[in-house]
Amino acid sequence: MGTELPLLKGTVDMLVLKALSWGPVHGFGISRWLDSRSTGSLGIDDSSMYQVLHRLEGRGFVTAGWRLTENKRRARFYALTPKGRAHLKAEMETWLRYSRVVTTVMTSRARTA
Amino acid sequence: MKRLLPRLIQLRPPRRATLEAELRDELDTHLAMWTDHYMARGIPRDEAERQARARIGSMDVAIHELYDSAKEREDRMQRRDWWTTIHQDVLLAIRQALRAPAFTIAALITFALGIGANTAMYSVVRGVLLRPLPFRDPARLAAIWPTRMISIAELLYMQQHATNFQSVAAFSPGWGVAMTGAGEPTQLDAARVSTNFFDVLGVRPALGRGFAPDESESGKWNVAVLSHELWIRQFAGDSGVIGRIVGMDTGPFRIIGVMPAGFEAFQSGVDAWLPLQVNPSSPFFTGAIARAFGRLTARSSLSGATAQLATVAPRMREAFNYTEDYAQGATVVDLHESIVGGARQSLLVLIGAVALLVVISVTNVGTLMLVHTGGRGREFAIRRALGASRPRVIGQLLTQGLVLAVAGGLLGLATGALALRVLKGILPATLPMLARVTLDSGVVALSALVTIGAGIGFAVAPALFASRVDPEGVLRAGASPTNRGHARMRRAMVVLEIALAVVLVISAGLMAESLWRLNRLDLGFDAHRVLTLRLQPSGGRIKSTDEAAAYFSELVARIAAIPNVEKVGAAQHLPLSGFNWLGDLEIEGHPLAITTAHPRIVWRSVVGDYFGTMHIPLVRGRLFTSSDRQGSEPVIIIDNAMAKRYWPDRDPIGERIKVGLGTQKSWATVVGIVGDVRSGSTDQPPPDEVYCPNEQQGLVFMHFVIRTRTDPLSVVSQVRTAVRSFDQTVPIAEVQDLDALVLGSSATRRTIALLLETFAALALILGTVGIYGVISHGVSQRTREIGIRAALGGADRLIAAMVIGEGVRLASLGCAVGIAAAFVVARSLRTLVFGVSTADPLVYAAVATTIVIIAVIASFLPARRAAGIDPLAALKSD
Repeated sequence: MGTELPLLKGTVDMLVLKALSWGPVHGFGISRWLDSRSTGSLGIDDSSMYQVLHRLEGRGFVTAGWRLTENKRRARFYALTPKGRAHLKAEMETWLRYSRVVTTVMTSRARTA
Repeated sequence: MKRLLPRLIQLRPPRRATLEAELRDELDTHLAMWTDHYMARGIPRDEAERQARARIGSMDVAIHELYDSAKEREDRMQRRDWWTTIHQDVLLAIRQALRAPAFTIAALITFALGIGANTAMYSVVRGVLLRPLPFRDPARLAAIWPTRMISIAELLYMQQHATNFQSVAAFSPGWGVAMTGAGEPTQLDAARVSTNFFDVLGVRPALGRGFAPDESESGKWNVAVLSHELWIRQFAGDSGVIGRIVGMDTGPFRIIGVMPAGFEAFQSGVDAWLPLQVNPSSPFFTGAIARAFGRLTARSSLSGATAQLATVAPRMREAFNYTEDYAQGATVVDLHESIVGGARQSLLVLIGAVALLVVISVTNVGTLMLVHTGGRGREFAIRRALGASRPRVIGQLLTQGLVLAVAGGLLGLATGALALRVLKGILPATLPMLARVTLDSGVVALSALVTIGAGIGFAVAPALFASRVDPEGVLRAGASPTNRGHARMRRAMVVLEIALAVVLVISAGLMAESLWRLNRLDLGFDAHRVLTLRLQPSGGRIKSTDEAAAYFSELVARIAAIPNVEKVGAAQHLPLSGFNWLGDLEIEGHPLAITTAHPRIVWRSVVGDYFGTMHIPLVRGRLFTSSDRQGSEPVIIIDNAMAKRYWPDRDPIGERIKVGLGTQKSWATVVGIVGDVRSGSTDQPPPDEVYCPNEQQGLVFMHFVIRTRTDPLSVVSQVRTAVRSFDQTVPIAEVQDLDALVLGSSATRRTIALLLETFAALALILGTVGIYGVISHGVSQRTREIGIRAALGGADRLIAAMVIGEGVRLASLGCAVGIAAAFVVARSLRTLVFGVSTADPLVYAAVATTIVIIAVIASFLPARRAAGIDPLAALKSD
């Protein structure tokens, strides 16, 4: 695990939605994906992740249902709704634009004008 | 029902334990999967389990934390479900409505008619009866002695002695004045008011000022406040009008103010307000000319003011030497009530009729709905069989009812706005406060309420039915459900509808018969082919009785010379115009023992061939001649009824009488007796009436009557030319034919009759649709049964008779109920009918017959269809 980064408000929602963008996954799957992608530097604990899932489900971005895993375990699977997919796309675009602009500003060498 | 609501809207939250168990399940799986994950990397089980647990910390704490977010999720999802359900139901309702266009259109039109009529009528009732008067603190305004006009002398006395009032004011209507110096000479309908009039009402002129306290004094009273309408019409809304001098009647008047648009007090259509002239030497000083009203002090009440008036009135009687019965009816009543009270009964009858119409239209839509859902019995059965819960099916039907109602309600509101415009044109212009009748938010609120109520109302019956459908029974029987309770309900609704329609039709019938009787009354004069107009020369033109005589006789001569004009006469006011001048009767040598008071009788000052023009017959004696003039012996003509009443055993010709101002307070000799005239009101017996020659009276304004050989309005331009050839400045006002004036005198009754007839016609149409719908549906439901009958040899004719008999049975039942109800309800028409009892058997019988005939007609088509049913096809159809 590297150094934990402070989380910006709303980014966890986006990350969790992203984790679901390839198909229905259970909580474990999301949590493992987040760990592996960020090499643990995001430091989202699993309890918070479930809270985020609840919120997303309540807002209709995600649906959930009990299903069996490949190992015949009963798990609650989460999937993106069309509304969730649209939300993810919009959030992602905003985020990318924002981070690009901020990066440009922060890495500029000298004051022009 | 107790369980229905929560299930219907599914707002019951899941139990806490369930939610926690689910969370625990999920977290257990989570831990297990992490454990597997770590073990797969070669970590021993113990360590793997420890690391997995470290990811979520304490299980109980995690569940506790997650519970809140999960609970919120559940709530949100339920709300969304609920909205989705409603959304789906509304869409379903709209789809179903579109799929049955005939039903939908019939239902929408029916409901829109009911709501439309209600919207328009309620707007009127609200504007006239319900909304407070548009004056400052209107609750403290009171009419004093509403049954009587008071004199200026009494006004001054009350202003001093009626201490229950902050102030007492007076309004004197009907002062026609000619205005010159502002475009074409115009006849104005002016009112004279006490100088505190506007202050007591608490209304300020929009422009200029109101009257100053001393402007009722001689020399200062030539000032006028204009109505907004006159200001626009005659002065083009020029604000420089203040201070301008115009000619009004007796001389130059200064315009000092303009009232705001829509200001109306006591009388609509007043063009200008002039100050009451306080002049103790004027004959008007003690004449009863004005309505008194006042603003109560903060501590007094209507009853307190009435009690005080009861003590003030006898003192006034002594002070002014009035007759014994003077103080009778001296009360103080709410001003609003005194202004609109006269219209209350009529308006309540009309709004009552509209309420019946609304119930009929709702019942009708309900019946249609029942017929419609009855036809969908199979659909409901299938839905129930497929697992739709009873509340869901009911919820859908309720939604369907509401969607239909809201659509119909919106349509009805639009219809109502249109109907209100028509209605305002139809209602007599004399209806107080008519100008401020609008379709305001209060009206919309009531319509919305009725709409929602109706929507629930006409969804309930089908809902109860549909939820009871037994899926198995219906599906197995293969036929549509012939639920007995359902059929009974349908019939009951049609019977109710017809009963209500009968009440409306009987009411309309009673009014129609009243009008018919009124039209056939002998009014005592012939209004056909008579042109009337008012001529009042501008101020100062006539200065003496002789000049008045010369002026009017010249006009009569010039008008009489027009071709197609047969006869010409005039009187200061015409019969049924709403104005009758009264005077106290005295008979020479006969102290009147009939009442303690002097009888007040009508006197009319006439010019030219008034009797000949009006076709009022001379019974005995002579009419006026050119030798009856100023300076010759005062003469008078009385009417037949008066002759019989006061001289039952003698010939009154040659007797001498006084009629107050009518004989200039001197004795006049009776020279003739003419026929009686219903001059006050068509529905009242003729009042005692006398006629004086204007040559001896010298009144300065006259209403002319011109009998023509052709359409009276065709000579108007010639009459104008003739008048202008003699006097260029006299306003030619109130031009109309006498027939119209007579019709106008019963305008209220005519309007009520017209509206009731309209409502009754609508009710009949709806009733017919109702009977047709139910009978027609009955036939289609019984196709199989009828087919069997036909197969067993039932003659077509008998089958048709059976169907028609069903319609007639429903109609007869409805008639019976309706007639019983009408006996009671029609009593509210007691003061509005004329010459007919509200239990008139003729009207009732006619209505009953009509309804039965309509039932036969409405059942005829379904009967023909029933008779034509092919037994084989009917039996095979399943």
